[in-house]
Formats: sequence, structure tokens, C-alpha cells
Amino acid sequence: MIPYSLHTLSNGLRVVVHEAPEVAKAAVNLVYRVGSRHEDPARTGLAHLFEHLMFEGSVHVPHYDHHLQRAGAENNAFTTADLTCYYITLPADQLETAFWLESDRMLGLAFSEAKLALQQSVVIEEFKQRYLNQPYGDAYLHLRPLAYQLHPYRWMTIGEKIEHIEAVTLAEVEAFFYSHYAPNNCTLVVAGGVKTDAVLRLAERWFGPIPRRALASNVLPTEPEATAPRSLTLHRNVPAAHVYTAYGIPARADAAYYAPDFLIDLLGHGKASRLYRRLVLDTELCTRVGAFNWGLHDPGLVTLFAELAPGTSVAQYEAELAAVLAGLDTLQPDELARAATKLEAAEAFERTEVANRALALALFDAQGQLEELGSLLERYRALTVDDVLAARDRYLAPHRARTLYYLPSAQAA
Amino acid sequence: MMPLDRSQAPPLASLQAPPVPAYQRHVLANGLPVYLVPFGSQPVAEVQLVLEGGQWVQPVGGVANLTARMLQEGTHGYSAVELAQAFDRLGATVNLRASNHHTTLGVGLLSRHLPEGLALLQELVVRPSFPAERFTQLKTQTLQQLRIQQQRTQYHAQRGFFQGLFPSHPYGQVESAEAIEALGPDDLRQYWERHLRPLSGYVVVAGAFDPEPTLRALEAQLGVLQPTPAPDLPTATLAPANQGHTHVAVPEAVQTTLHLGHPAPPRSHPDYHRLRFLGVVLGGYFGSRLMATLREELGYTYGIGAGFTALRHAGYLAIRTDVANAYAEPALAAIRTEVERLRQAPIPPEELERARNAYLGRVIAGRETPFQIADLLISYLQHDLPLSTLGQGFAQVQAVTAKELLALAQQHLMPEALWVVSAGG
Repeated sequence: MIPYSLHTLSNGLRVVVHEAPEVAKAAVNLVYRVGSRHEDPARTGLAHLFEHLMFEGSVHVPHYDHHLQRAGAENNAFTTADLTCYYITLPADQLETAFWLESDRMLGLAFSEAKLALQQSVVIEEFKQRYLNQPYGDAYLHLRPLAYQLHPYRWMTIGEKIEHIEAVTLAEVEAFFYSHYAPNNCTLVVAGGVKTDAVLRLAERWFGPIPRRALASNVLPTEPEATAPRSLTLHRNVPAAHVYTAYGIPARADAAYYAPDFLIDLLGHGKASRLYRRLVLDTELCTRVGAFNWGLHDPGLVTLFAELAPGTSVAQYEAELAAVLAGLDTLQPDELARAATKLEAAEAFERTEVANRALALALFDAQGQLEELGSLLERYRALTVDDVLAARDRYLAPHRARTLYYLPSAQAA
Repeated sequence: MMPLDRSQAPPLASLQAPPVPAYQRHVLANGLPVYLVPFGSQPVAEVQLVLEGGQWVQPVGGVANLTARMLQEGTHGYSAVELAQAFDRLGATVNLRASNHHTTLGVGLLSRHLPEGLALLQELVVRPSFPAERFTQLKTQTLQQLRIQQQRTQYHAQRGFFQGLFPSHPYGQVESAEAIEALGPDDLRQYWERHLRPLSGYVVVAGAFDPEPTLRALEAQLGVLQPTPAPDLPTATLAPANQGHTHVAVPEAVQTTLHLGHPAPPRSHPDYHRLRFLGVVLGGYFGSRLMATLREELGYTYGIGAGFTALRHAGYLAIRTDVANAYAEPALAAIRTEVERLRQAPIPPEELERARNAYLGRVIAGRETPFQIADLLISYLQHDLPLSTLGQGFAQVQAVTAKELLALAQQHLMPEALWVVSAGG
């Protein structure tokens, strides 16, 4: 449990406070409900590029970072498909500095052509470093459009391609700001060695005067239900074949979300997991396996991953993967209990740091599920063998598979 | 209330030194020292068994790490799968790793399962069976990862950097596919028997747990083990480091990794904390000289980092970044200029205050959780530093002047001695 209180200012800013008096520091998160899902398909990557520009000075404060450094703070930000989160940790008695800086950049940025051009360069190098200059680095750039055809989830948050980032204009940046950055599209989370009434006074003082803004609408298409498998084969200069199999799952807020999420855990998390035992230990067909959930808000995506051992064919792997999925019929409650215990420990380790508790509150409020945060483990513990098998049959059905084969140049598909 | 003036920064408080970390020290019946850090708001704990023996004593590159990883691939009492399932039941994550001088067996788990976790830890450390078929698999996996790593510019730059910085020395030892290929399970068993089974080391337990029953469990699981004789540690002579620039061509790479630096003092040096701080000014925080110039002014890179690292017998300055191939030469020139600039003029007061507070703020932030305190203790114990000196770095960095930093820069930053490895297209 993370005890918190929720308050809403008259301009719509949601303020969540978590008091942890034993901690000497404070964590401040501002989560804006804007991400790459809000982008124009011809300007993908704008939400993340914009995040960079948030550090380039605001109307009254030319050097955002300098003041945080002086206050002994650490800070950064990240952008996802659904949200953009700015976070700071600092000694609790420096809290007001964070309010000053964050409210000023919510009020307005000191935009300029030169700053935009500079951050375009930086982001293009980031694009290369993460996605082009790593073996398999571009796999997800290809997997997303295989999994989504209509929804903006079809491009990665970094952007579909470098040309989109290069094409962004200052006018587009300004328009993006005023239609998404607003108190009525934001949650402020403050956690740590703070008092709720003092936090609320600061919030009212610094954020209260910022007017509401008219937000851009974000009505998005629903992906059609899959009827047949889809795949893409890439041949690249890599030493081993990687196979990524993606399946659609329900939206984050859907009660049906939990069973496929838990199934993915059972399949791919740890050395006792089903995929590891069968594909790495028993048959030695793979050198690495995994399974993960992309954590998207709208109807989302899970992915099974395998790195094939030298000599393994794609057909051998797929036959064995099908056998693993079929073999789940033998699932026992004990296996579910083990996976739930691991989730319990992972959650507790994560919440050891107050900054992570603040982040959890921010992310869950952004996905409209603040009140669910305290009962997540119960959700998973309540799942039965039948629930998990039903999720397998419903979501991991063969006709729903979207598979990317990332193969060495010489390997047959 | 004062009217709101957004052009005025709110007043800042001065940064307060965090309390000196608290811990308990005990010695088990067999002489194994135990350090307890019992606090925390979440019901989890982490045990770390730190043993003397790591890359320093391995016969060939890769043995120390492979041996550590093999400990959970089967014991005389459990198969690899049985071990994994047993740990899962405790909510446990196992982390086995070798560093320059140590092998660490870490188990993080739900506090209520600490006694069972300690029993499994005992199983790993004294009863590993090194099953041949598991070793063959591990070797296949390791060689596959190595082939993938060899496509990364970062891999080649780092490898070349350490080989040239510490030629023919354990700190410069790297893994090779041929050497790993030639290993058998007996090589690992012998390494374990000689360097890990002696149980020469200590245990650190951190988290939310009750010390009394935990000590009893430690006594029952680890205190009953009879240590075996530990070998004398070999010595190694440092040869002069390479200087100059070497390039590794990586076909198809769209960026070049730059990894450069030179030797620096070991951890025992009295200026350790001040030098670390100097490294932060150069390249260790977002406002550092290198970030300000190469990213925020020139736009050459997404990020650049630099810092002094101190080991038991040596240390080094390292600077690393990834840049577009076309920027490699100008980036290198800009880096050299920044290193030189710290030797030419004192750090201006405004910058010194920012860097100092960023550094001290990080120290304060790093004392929040029991696991952070445990890692801090281990960093002292690993270097045989007296725990009575814990926390003294804060005051040293708080007091250091621009003049002292200039003198340190002139002594320990050596632009003419830089060893530069670039890897890219």
C-alpha cells in the first residue's frame, strides 16, 4: 500500500501527495497525459523531441537545470506512447525550487529556432545510438507496424524515422505545447519527507494561477480483430536469429487485462519459467527467451522473444513454442502461486525508494487507475488456472500472432 | 504571503550531511564477519555473500564470471530447475557476479523467507556440482552473446580501452571465444575449490528484518561451514599504459564510440573523493563540461560521461560517448579541449556551486534505502578501508576549493597521456 491523498485545483491540476516522514528527500513527478499517440503520422517522434525542449528554458527561467543542480536535485524525464513524465528528487527542504521550475515551464517555454535545431541533432543521435547502431536495434521499429495498422501505437515513441524528426517546425512545437501541456492535462505527485498541507499551499501558489487550456481531442481508431497471422522477415548482418511474436491484449483499464499479463509472466520470467525450461534447458533450441508486456493504455501488446541457438531452424522453434503453449494444460495452482510471490517481492523491492512510489502513483493516475494501485497483487492472486488458460486460448491464438523474423543474412526464413 | 515573482528563485537551504550510516557487526562461529543493516519500509531483504576471488585470480578471461553463474546450474542437492523453483517460492532474485577482486552471491527476497534463502545460499556456495551438460549450454549461450557483442561499437571500444590501459595485467584481461571454447567444467570446479570454497569474505544483510532470528539463521547456515585454506593472492606489476589513438573498424556502424582516458590513483589515495568530484565536473552530471559542450552546445551526441574510477591497485580516468561517424574527430578535439581547460583555469564559483551541490545531493539521495547502505559498506570493505571513515567524503567535497581542484587537475588530468580507442564506421 502507498498511502496518498488526491486534490484537484480549480484549473484542473490533480495533486497527489504521499507522506513518508522517515525519508529526508522529496520526489516530485509531473505526468502529462500526452505521448506519441497524439502525434501527426507525418511528424512521429514529436512528443519525445518536445520532452527535450522542456529542458531548454522557460518564460522566466533561462536555465532550468542549473537551479536543480544548485538545489542538490536529480532529475530527468521519459516519454511513452501514452504519457510524458518529468521527475525530480531533491532534499525535502528544497521542495519549492521544484514548484517554481515546473510551474514556469507549464506556463510557457522560451522557444527558439536554435534550440529546436540543437535538440533535433541530439535526438537524431539518440535515434542512431539506440535503434540503428545496435545489433537488432531496429527490430521494434518493424514490429510495431506489424502489430498495429491503424492506431498510432504503430510507430515507436522515438519516431518512425529520422526524417520526421528533422521536419518538425517551431510552429508545430508551439502548437503541440498549447494543445497538450496544461494543468488540466497533468498530475503532480509529491512524495517523501513532506506535509500534505504545505504541498497544497505550494501547489496553489505556483500552479494555481496557470489557466486551463483547450486540449486537442484524441479520438483514435480501434484496431480490427485479427483474423489471420501476419509476419515480416528481415535479413541482416547478425550472428543469431531473433524471433518476436506479438499478440494483442485488452486495454489497461479492462478487467480482462490481468490474465494475459500474468500468463506472460508465467511463460517468460525467470529460469523456472515455461519458455526457459523447454526451449533453453530441455531442447536447447534457444540461447535466450523472454516475454514482456509493452504496458500500453489502449488495447495493448505482449511479445514473446527467442534467440535461436546455432543450427535451430525457425520451424523447429515455432513447433516447440506451440508445444509450450499447448503444454500449459498441465498448469498447477502451485506455479501460479510462485509467480504471484515473485510479483509481490518485485513490487516491494521497487517501492523501497520513495521516488519509485511517486512514479507508481503518477503512472497509475495517468492511466486513470489511481485507486487500483493498492490492490494489484490481489488481482493477480485471484486468477485461477482456468483464467490463465482462457487467456491463452483467447489472446495467444495462432491467428492473432504477429511475428518478426530477424535473421542472419544466410538463414532461410 | 509575498506576491508571486516568477523571475526570483525561491531561497535554497544549505545541503546537510546525511547521518553516518548505521550497521551492526557480528562474527559467526567460524570467523565469518556479518554486517547487518536492518531497516526499511518494505518487507524485503537482501543477503550478499562477498568472497575474495574474482578476475584478479582467474587463470584465463571468463572463468570467474562463468564459475559464478554455474553455481545456480546445479548442486549436489538440487537440479538447476529445482533451484530456480525453490528461489521463486521465496520471491527471491539471485544475482551471481564476479568483479576484479570478488565474487558476490546476492539473494534478494521477501523478508519472511530469509532463513530458507540462507539455506539455499549455503547450497550454492558449498555444494555446486558443475553438471557437464549445463556447462555446455552455458558455454553456447556465452559464445553466442559474445558474437552479438562483437557487432557493437561500444564493445570494441571498451575492450581496447582496458587492454591498452592495463597491458598484461588482470585489470586489462578480456574474454576471448577461443579461451572460453577450451574450458571444461573441471576448470570451473577447480577455480571454485581454490578461490570460493575457502569462504574468505563476509556477509551483508540489509532490509526490513529482525536481527536476532536472522543472526541465528546465519549461524545455522553459514556459521557452521568450515572454511578451507585460502591461497595467497598473486601480485601483478603495472606496465606503462598505452598512449595515442587506435581505431577499430566496425562495418555498417552509423556511429563511432569513443572510449578514452589514462591511469589514475587507486582507492587508497587520500584525494579519492576530491578526484571523484573533479571527474563529475568534467563529465559526471547533466551540467558537466563535456555535456554542456558536446551535447548542449555542439549537438554531437545524445550523451557523454566521464569519471575517475579507483580500484584496489590502480585507477583510471575514462571518458565515453557515441557520435555520428563524421563527428568523431571534432568530438575528440572538443573533449581534449575540455580536459585541458580544467588544468588552465580555476572552476568559476557559480559552476563550482552547481557541481558541488549536484554531487552532494547525489550522496544524500544515495542513503535512502538499506540496500544503498549495504552497497556503501561493501565498497569500503572491498578496499580494506576502515568503516570509521564512512561518510567523510561529504565533508571533503563540501570543503574543497577551486584552487585545490585546479592543483588536482594539473596533477591528475593528463591530456598528453590519453589513450584513445575509437570504434565505428
